Parts: sequence; C-alpha cells; structure tokens
Amino acid sequence: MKILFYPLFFLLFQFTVHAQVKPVAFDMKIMYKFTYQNDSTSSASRKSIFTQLTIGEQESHFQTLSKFRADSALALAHGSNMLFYSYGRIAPNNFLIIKREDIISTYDPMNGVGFSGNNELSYYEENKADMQWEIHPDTAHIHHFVCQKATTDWGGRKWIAWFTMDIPISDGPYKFCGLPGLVLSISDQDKYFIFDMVSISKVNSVSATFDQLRPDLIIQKTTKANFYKERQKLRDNMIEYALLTGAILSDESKINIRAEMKTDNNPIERH
Amino acid sequence: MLAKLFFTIIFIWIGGHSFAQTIITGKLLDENQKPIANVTVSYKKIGSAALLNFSKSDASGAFKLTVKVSDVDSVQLDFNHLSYAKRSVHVANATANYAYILKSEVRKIQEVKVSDVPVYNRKDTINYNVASFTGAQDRVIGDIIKKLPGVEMRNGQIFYQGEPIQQYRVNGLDMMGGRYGLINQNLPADAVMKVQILENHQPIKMLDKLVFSNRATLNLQLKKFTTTGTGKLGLGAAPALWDANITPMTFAKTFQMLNSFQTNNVGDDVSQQLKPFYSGTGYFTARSRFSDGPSYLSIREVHSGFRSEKMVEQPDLFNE
Repeated sequence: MKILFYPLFFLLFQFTVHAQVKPVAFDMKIMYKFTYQNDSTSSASRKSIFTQLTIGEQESHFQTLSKFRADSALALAHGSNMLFYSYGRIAPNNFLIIKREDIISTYDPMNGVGFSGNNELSYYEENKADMQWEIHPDTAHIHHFVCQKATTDWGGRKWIAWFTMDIPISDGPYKFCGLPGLVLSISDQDKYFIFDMVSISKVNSVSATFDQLRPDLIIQKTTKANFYKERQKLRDNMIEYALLTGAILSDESKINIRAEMKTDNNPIERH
Repeated sequence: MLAKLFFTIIFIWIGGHSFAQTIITGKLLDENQKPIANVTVSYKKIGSAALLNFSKSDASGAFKLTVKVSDVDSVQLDFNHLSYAKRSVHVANATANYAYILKSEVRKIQEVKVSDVPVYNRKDTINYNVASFTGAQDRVIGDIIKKLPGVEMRNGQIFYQGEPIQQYRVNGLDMMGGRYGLINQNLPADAVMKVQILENHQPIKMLDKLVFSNRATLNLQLKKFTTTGTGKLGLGAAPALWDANITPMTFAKTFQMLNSFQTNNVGDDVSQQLKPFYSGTGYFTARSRFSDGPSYLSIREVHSGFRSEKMVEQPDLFNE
C-alpha cells in the first residue's frame, strides 16, 4: 500500500508545479510601449499597447497590460464561470511569457481569447540559448542609461536591441533575454515591432496563479512550430469553426471575417 | 627553395592566430568564500564605454571569457550582479586564471517615472491626458481619440483593443446612446481634459460583479461644465456650394444638451454622424443592447447624386 502511495504523490506534485500554484513575488516592474503592425500591407494597421515585464528572484513574467488587468479583475472576482467562446479575430496579445533559468515558457491561448472566456491554454518551451546575440560597439543614451547595441537573428527576423549595463539583469521585453544588461529598446529591422521602455519602478507585488484565474484551466503542452501551425489553421478556417459551433452568419459577416483574417498576416515570429 | 617558402608562410599564419585570442578564466567568490553564480563577466578596452564580449559564471562560480582584441596590452574586466557591488579590474591581455571576491551589496536601480507617459491608470481606468496628444492640426476630440494607444477608429466607430466600445460618455453621462459620432466630430479637443477608458466596464450597475464584461467604456472628462461647440461655414463658387455646421452643446452636472444644424451640398454624408454604433458588432456573439437612443427631432432631405442634406435634431438628456 505504501509503495503505491509514493508514485501517486509524485505525480500529483508534478502536476501542481506545472499549473503554477505558487504565486511569484516581484520586486521590479518595467513597462514597455509595444508598437506592432499585424498587417504588413498597411501601415495604418499600426497599433501600440503597453506591456509589462515583472521581475522576481527566480523568474520574470511578460504580458500586455490589458491582459494583466483583465486577469487581476478576474482573480479578484474569484473566477468567473461565464463562458463564451467566440471565434472572432485572434487577439495575438493574450500571451504570458515566463523566463526561468535557461527556459522561456510561453502560455498563449490558441484562439487568442483571454481567461474570461476561455479555459484552454497552450504552452510551449524554448531554450534561452537559441537566441544568439552579436554585440556591437555603438552606444546611445536612453533616459539616463548608457546603452549598447546588440543584434540577433531570431524568430525569422533580424532584431536590433539596446541594452544597459547599468541594470545588470539579463532580461527584456517579449522573449528577449541573454544580454549582460536589461534591454531598454528593441525593434526588428523593418520596424514592424518596436518595444520601448517607458518606466522602471520598484514594486512589491505577487502574481496571480492560474488557479485563481481559472480553476478549470486546461493546459496543453505543445511545441512552438505546432502552435503557430495550428493557429494559422484556425485563422484560415475561422468561418467553418464558427459554423460548427452553431453560429449563424450572414454573407456579409462571412466576407468581413475573411477580410479581417487576411489583415492578420504579420506575426511577431515567422515560421 | 620553394619548399622553404611554404613552411615559412604556414608558421606565420599559426603564430598570428594564436595571438589574436586569449582565454581568461577565473572564479568568483563572496566574502564567505562561497561561489557566486550568474555574475555577468564582460571585458572592454580600458577607457571605452562599449563592452566587447561577455559570459556568465556558472554554479561553481567559474567563468571563461574569450578575449579577441590583440592591439592592447591589458583589458578591463567588469563583474556585474544585482546583489553584489560592481567590481572592475585591469588584467593583462594574456591567457590566465584569476580569483576575485565580490562584496555583497543590494544595487540601487535608478527608477524611471511614468510622468513621461501621457497615460496613467487607476484601478480599471486608463486616463489619457488630452493635451499631450494634441497636435496643431487636431480640432475635434475625434482627432485625438484615434491617436490614443490601444484605440482605433473605423468609419467613425471606436474600438478599444479591437473590440467596439460599449458606451461613449461625457462627464459620466451617456447622452447620445450610440450616436456618439455627433460628439466625436464636433466637440472641440481643447474642451476636454482627459479621455478615460474604463476596462471591463459593466454599464448596468445591478449586474456589476455578476456579469463580467470584457468591453470598455469611453468617458470624456471636460475641463469644466460648459457650453461649447463648433461652427463651420464654407461657401463655394457657382452654381453654389455650401457646407455649414453649427453644433452648440451644453454639459452641466446633471443636464446635457446637444443641438446640431448641418447642411451641405458638397457630398459630405452628414448622416454618418447619426449612425448608431452600439449594436452588436462582435461577429458571432449577439451583444445587442441596441436602442434607438434619445429622441430626435430631425428633418432630412436626401437627394440622390449630388447630395443636399439638412438635419435638425435635438436630443437631450436629464439625469435625475
């Protein structure tokens, strides 16, 4: 009997670690303005949102401010059991990126819907070492910080980053990390995606755990390549999915959806 | 003779190669002789700002750094860790092994205040300071709203993070009930102090905390309770073109009124401003909370072809 007990305990333990039960304490928060263009054919589709990087002793979390706020509101409301599953536009900004030791973990709902209306979350891991930086002698000042240039060829794009040795934290916006100092500004060569630091502050906050947000959360482990493939499939067949779930669509809205899906053609990572 | 020359060339090449690269190894310990992991070790030319290469110490405190400059005799090594005092040493540019002790010290990070950002947030509300977004060519509040981060406007309808807003309020009152185009296109930008976005706003107070809303409400905080508005008069040459718009509005604490008199024959479809925007525009989720809104007294004449329109309307709203 005792023999049975131990493996069972072990299994349980593993699962709870995966579901991120322990809240993480953060002591620093860096806000970045994130400008992105999801339609490469139209510069009018440029948008900007605020994103935040919260840094703790062991790990850092990166997400958009609106996602953080929606999650916090949800956590305060002790979870909502309201469920709607709308196959609208894929909101590409509902991701949570956790950097811990040598691993970058990305939690991103396949259909882009936030926790308030979705209990499925995809999850994949990458190695920090995949991002190879080249350091350049160029320096610049951002706010009061002396920054140095570094470039990387990563995710199908060429990125130009400015990091500062004044903040010796090997982290940055989105998945960017691995430089000797904090990345204060980074953009791709075509300037489709730009992260610019807007504030650095000391905080004393604790992350909301998935359990607080959605006790019924299902985390599906996948790979990055698979995630992007599935998301593209969903994007291409949005109308069929919608009809399957019982939606009634007018011809006009079908045209609208198709047109809108076409404008979402420029993801931050190309695969 | 030829064979001799060949050997000489090979010798020079090998020699040059081994000169260009030195490997500096070492160990980093704290004051109690315990190894320190994750210290950034970087090197640069003495007196320059830019570092040339870097590596990290492992769990046993050991580091290995490849130095690739050959034109200097010595280089500066920098040790950086958030919990230890910064330490710099000058070492000879030669392969060698060192050991250093770092003093523990909590590094102070210089904060950057948000005051540079014309946006701040309180609870679920994001505030945009209108003055910081206003450019010389911006006249009405709509010109500002479409520039705000996270906000976009398509055919006059306002979207926040890709979702249509559910209410457009002025000083907390939803006067126009969806036909907010009239305010948006006519309220002067300089009458507005800030634009607020109320995220996850449940407009029906009784349902607050019961039904979670993921849509946003937009609110305009005016500088003072005021009577304002826009007037525009344009005249063109023969046969006779006109474009006139007088839109006076009053915003008091409990009383708001907006009148709009617009007429033109220059093909500007004024009725766009009367379009209701609150109806369900989500693709599949029928979120229709669509009402006709306030009462309108209107006269419209629409001719096909070259348009001539007149509209008179007077919605007003009392808040008991």
